[in-house]
Amino acid sequence: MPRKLCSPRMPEGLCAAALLAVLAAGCSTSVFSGDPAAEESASGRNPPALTLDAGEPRKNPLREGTAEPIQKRPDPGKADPGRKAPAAEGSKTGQGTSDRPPFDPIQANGEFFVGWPKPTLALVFTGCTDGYFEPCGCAGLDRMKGGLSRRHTMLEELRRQRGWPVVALDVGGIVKGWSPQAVIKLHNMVMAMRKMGYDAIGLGKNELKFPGDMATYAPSVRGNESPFVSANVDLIGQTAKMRILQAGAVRLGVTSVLGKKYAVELDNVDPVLLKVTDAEQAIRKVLPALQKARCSLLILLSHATREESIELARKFPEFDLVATSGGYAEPPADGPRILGPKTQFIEVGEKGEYAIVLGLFDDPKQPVRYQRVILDSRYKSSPDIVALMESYQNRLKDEGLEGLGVRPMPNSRTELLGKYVGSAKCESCHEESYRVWRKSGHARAYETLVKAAPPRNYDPECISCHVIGWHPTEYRPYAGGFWSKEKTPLLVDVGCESCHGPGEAHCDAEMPGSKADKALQEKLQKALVVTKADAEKRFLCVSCHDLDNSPDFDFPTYWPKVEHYENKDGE
Amino acid sequence: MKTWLLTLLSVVVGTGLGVATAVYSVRRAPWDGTPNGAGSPVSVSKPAVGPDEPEKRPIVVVDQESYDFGVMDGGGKQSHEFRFTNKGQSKLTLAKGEATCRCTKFELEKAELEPGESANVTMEWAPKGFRGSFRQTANVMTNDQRRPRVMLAIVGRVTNIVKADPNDIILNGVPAGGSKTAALRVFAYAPKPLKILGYDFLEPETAKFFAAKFEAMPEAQWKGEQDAQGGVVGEIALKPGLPLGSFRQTIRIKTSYGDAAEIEVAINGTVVGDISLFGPDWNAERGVLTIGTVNASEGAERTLLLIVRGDYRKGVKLEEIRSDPDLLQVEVGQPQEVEERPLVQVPLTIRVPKGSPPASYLGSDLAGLGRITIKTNHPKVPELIIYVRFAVQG
Repeated sequence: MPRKLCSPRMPEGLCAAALLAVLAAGCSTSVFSGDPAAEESASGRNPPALTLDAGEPRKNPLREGTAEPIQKRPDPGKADPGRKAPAAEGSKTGQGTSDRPPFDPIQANGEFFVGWPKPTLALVFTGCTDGYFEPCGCAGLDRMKGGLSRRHTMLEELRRQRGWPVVALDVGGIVKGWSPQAVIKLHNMVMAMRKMGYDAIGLGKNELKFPGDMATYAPSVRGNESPFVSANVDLIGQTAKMRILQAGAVRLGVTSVLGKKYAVELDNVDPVLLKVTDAEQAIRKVLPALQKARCSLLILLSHATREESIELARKFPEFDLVATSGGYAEPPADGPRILGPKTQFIEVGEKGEYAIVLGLFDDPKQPVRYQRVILDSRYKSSPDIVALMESYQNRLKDEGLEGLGVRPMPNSRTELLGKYVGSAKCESCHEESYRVWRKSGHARAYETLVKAAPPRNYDPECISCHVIGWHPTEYRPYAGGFWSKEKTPLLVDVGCESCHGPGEAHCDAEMPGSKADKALQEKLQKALVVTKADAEKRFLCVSCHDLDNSPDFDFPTYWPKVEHYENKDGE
Repeated sequence: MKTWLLTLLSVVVGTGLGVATAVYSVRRAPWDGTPNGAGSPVSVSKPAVGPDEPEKRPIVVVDQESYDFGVMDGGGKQSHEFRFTNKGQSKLTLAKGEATCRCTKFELEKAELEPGESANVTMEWAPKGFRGSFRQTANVMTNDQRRPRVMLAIVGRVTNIVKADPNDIILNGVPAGGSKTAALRVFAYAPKPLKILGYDFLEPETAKFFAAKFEAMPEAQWKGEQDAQGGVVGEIALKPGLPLGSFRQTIRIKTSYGDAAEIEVAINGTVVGDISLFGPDWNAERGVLTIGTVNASEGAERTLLLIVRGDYRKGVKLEEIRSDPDLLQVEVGQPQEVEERPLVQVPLTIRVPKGSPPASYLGSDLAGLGRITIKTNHPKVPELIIYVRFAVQG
C-alpha cells in the first residue's frame, strides 16, 4: 500500500524522490478529469488508471518531516515596515466611524503568510458561516471580520496573485434559522461558494433543515458536479460519500460526517428526502474506498461538536487532517492540535470570520505551515460576490415581508401599553429626551439601511434592529410594529418605543380629557421607564449591539450618548 | 398556447457507495509542474535570538497561557490573573498588544519587571448576550527577544441558567393529515430543582394543533449533559389538520427559575402533499418562481426539483403543460426512482429562451405574473400551477 510505503519509518528521501520524479514529469493534467473508469476505480472496484508513478509511494506531507512541522503565525508587531496601511473599507452604512482613527487591519491582525514560499498545495478550510453572507456593519465594516466577499478575494489572491494551487474545503454550516429568507440565502450562498471554487463541502445541520432545497444540488438535478459530500448524510439517494481530488501532484481523499449530537436535531426532518446514519459506521464503510484510492492525504470534514470531532479523529487515525465545525468561535492562531499519532485537528471558528490555510511544502524540514487568516478589511470586496448580494437583496425586495413569510408575533406588553405610535408623538411632552434621541445615531438607523450599497431596507435580518417594534433576533415584527416605510412611516428608525415599549396607552392616558385615573397614568408611566440598570441587566442594548454586530460596543461608553431623564430620580 | 404531451419513465438510481462516489480534479489552479523549493530547503524567518550576552537579557515566564472559565452565566463576568515573572537578568518590559475585541479587557499590573519580580496580567470577559463556546485572546508584548509576544487565552462556555435542547424544533415533511412528535429537553445549570410551571403556544391561529407534556428527567440523563444540574424531558406533538405549506409556532415555557428563565422554543416545519417543488428562486409558500429581468440576448433558465411521494408516485405522469405567455418553455427531465426511498424525483427546467420578445410579468399580485399549468394523472394532485415572475428586455 502506498501509504505504508510512505510511512514515517521509510527513509525520507524515498518519498521525496518519488514526488520529485512526479513533479519533473509534469502533473498539471489530471488523470481523473471526468474519466468514468477512474470514477469506478475510486469507489474501489478497479485499480485507478494512474499515470502517476503507479506502485510508487505517495508523499504524505503531514506524516513526514521534523517534530516541529508547523510554522507559527508571524508576530503582528513584525509587519513589513515599508508597508502602507490599506485604505479603510469604511462603514457599509457610512455611519458610526467618523470619530475613530482609521482602522489598520494589518497592524491589528498582523501580516499573513510571512516567509511562505509557494506551497505544493494550499488547503483552505472554512465553515460555520452560519448565514453570515457578510458581517453586519453597524460598527463600520472595516472593523468587522468575515463575509463571503472577502473570502472570495482571499482565495483569488492565493490563486491568481500568488499562483498557489488551492483546494478549498468547507465543513458545512452555511445558514442558520428556518424561514423562507433562510432558503433564499442558502441558495445565494451556495452560488457564492461555487463561484469561490470549493472542492468539497460537508453537509451541516442547518442547511439539512431544508432537505428539498439541498437536494436540488444533486448531480441528477443540475447535471454537473456537486461539491457536497457526506459519508453519513444522504439526500434523495444522491450524495457523494467521498471525493477524490487531484491537485497537481497531490491526491486528496475527502469525506465528511454529521455528528450524532447534531443529527438528533434532524430527527423530524422529512425522512423521505433525508437519511442520516451513524457517523462512525459510515466512516468505517467509506474508509476502505478512500484508502484504495491511494491518496497522499485523507481529510475528514467533521460537522460535529468539538468533543465528538476529537473522538472521531482519535478513533480514525487514518485521517491526516480532521477539520471540525465545533471548535471555539476563534480558532487557534498558533497551529492545529495534534491528536493521536499525527492527526492535525483544524478548527475553523464561527460565522465565517476566519479561514485556515495549511501550506504543504516539498521541504522535509518544514513540510507544513499553518496560517489562521482573519478575513478583515485588507481583503477588498469581490465584485462577483457583491453582485450576488445585490441579487439576494433584490429578491428580498421582490418578495416583500409577506412573500418571506414574515408574520407579526404577539407582544405581551401591548395588553397594557397598546400599540406603537412612533417617536414624533413623544416630542410634545418629552422635549429634552426627544432632542437627545434626535441627535443620536438611533434617529438615523433606517436611513443607514437605505443608503447602504446595496440597500438593506428590505432585509428582515437588518430591519429588525433599525426600526420600532421588531424582535431583534427573531427577525419579525411584534403586532403593530414596523411593516414598511409606506405603511408605517412613523415607525422607522430605532425610536423611543424600541427601548421603552409601545406608547399608545400612555399617550392616551396623558391627553386632556382622558378618562384614565392617576393610578393608571402612573402604572403606565412606570411600565415605560428604563433605568440604566435595567438597560444593562436586561441586555436591552446588546440585543442589537451584540458581539457580532457591534464588537466595540461598551455599555459605560455608549450609554451617555443616549442617556436622558424625565425626573430627578434618574428615571 | 403550447402543449406538450409527456410520459415519464422512471429509472432507478442506485444508492450504493460506488455510485455515490465521485472523483474530481481541481482544475482551476492546476499544478504548474514547477517543483518549487525542491532541492533548496526553504529558509523560514524566525524571531531573532537574544542579544550577545544572553545572561543579561530579560526572560518572560508565565504561569499558564490559557485559562478555562468553565460554564458562565450569560449575564455574568469573569476574570483571571495570569502571573508573569522575569526570570532573566535585565529589566522585562510588558505592553498591551491586541485583544480579540473590546469585550475582552486586560490590564497589566506593572509595565516593567525587575529580575526575579512578578506581576499579574488580568483578563476579563463579559459575554454580553453571547451564547456558546468562546475563546478570547490578548497579546502581551515583551522585550524578551525569544518571546516578543505572549498570547493569553481565556476559554469557556456561556449558557443561560435554563436552556432548551434543541432551541428550535423542526417538523419537516409532515404528510398532509398526519401527526408528528418531537422530543425537547430542558436543562438547568444551577443547583435548584427545575420544574415546568406551565406553557403556552404563542401563535394563536395554529395553537390548537399543538400539544406538549413534560416530566422529570432521570438523573443519569441530565448528568450526561455538560455542566447541567437538573433537567426535564418533554414531548411536543403536532396534531393532524394543519394545511399544506409551512408553519411557524413558538412554545413559551415557564419554569421554577422565574421570569428571567422563561424559555421560548420555535417549532417550525412543513406539511407536504404528494407533489412538491424545490429550488433556487422558488417560493413554495406563494407558488412563485422569480426569474427577474432577463436580457433577450442571453435568456435565462431555472431548474427545480419536483418530488413525488406517496402510493401513486411510480405511475405519475405530467400529461400536459401550458404556459402563459407561451414564450416560457418547460423541459421535464428524466424521472428517477430512488432505491429504498418512497419518492420519484423529476428535474424541471423553466426557460426564458434567447431572443424572446420584450415582456413584463413582474406584477405585484399573481394575476400579473406568468403562469405554467401542469396537468397530471395523480388522483390527488390533478394540476400544478407555477407562477413565474419575469420580464424580458432589450
